Amino acid sequence: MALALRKRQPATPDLQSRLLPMVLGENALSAASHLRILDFGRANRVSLTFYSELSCRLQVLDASETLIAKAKAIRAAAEDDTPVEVTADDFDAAFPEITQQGFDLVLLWDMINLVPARALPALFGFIQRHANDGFRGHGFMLHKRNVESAVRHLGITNAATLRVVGTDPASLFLHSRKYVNDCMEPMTIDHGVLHSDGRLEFLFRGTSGT
Amino acid sequence: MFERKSSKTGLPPEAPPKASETPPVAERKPAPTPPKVSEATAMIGAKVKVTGDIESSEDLLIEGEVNGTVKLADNELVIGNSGRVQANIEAKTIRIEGEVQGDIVGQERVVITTTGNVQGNVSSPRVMLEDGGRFKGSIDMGGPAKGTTAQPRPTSSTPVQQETKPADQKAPAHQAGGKAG
Repeated sequence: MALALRKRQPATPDLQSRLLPMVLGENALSAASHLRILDFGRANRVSLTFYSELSCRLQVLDASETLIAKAKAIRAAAEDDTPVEVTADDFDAAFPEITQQGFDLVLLWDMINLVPARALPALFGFIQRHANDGFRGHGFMLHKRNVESAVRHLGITNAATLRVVGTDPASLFLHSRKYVNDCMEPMTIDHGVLHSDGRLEFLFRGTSGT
Repeated sequence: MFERKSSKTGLPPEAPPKASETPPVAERKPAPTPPKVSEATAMIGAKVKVTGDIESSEDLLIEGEVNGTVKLADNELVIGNSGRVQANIEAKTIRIEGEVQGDIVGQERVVITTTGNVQGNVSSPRVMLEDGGRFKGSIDMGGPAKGTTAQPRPTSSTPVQQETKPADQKAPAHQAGGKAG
């Protein structure tokens, strides 16, 4: 019986983050008032349990399906030689549920890898439009082509530990740190940790925090 | 339009009668049992569509379609598996097994079950999402005193390379910007 129960444990081990504690750790939170968090990921029991211990307003975008559809449309247009221009307004139209401004923390998770390179400036323009000047952001950038073609849905067990609560098959786009950094101007990537699975975990910040 | 679900009004277990009170067998009658009002649940059936405002002072189960507003003062609202609600809803406790589009106020708690799908803004002291439940929107979390539970647990197992600029470490997210609210 005990053996059978043990076999049902999730196969994916928890992920350890060195960067999230900088924005969700005890020291960071003790300095914060009511946080406004923009979460591009999918709502899940693990994360909600974590968030419920914070004083925050959480906006959940569950963006993966929308971004996958957008990437397909961009790819199809490119194949037809149709000029493709993606703007921040396109992202606003794709996520009409965002009605508020002034987010302090933006959690991209894997979602940046669903966005083609040409659309990244628009994505960051969209983020900047809805965030505080000095906001912080976090994400995982696909750095090496040795990762499964799937987008992960991550839950926050605690500020330093993430759990993969689900995956969806998806075509992922490789991005380089330099290109992403150039795309997000005037925001900047200020921390990066390369994980063994080829993903670069990164923190970025808005303009007035420097 | 409103169907009443069978309430749990079964007979209470009968205590063995005292010998002095035991009537002859032919005279025994079942004791009348008043319905327990608190356990009664009004129900909107799966084939019912309601457009307008609903107010109720008893528990309500919605299996049909509702467009408008739903307000229960001190009672439980359940959006059943087949329920589809496009409405702002307010109740003491809210359990969502179907689909809801609208703003949700749960005075005590809101539960989105494994089959639940919510798009809207949730305000409640306790919001629970079961595995498989979907939610898109915003939630206001009160939380306890800041910094009491989100403990970092540093580890060195997974990352293989660090490209940290030490100068930035002392400025966590929320100190940096002019936060609203």
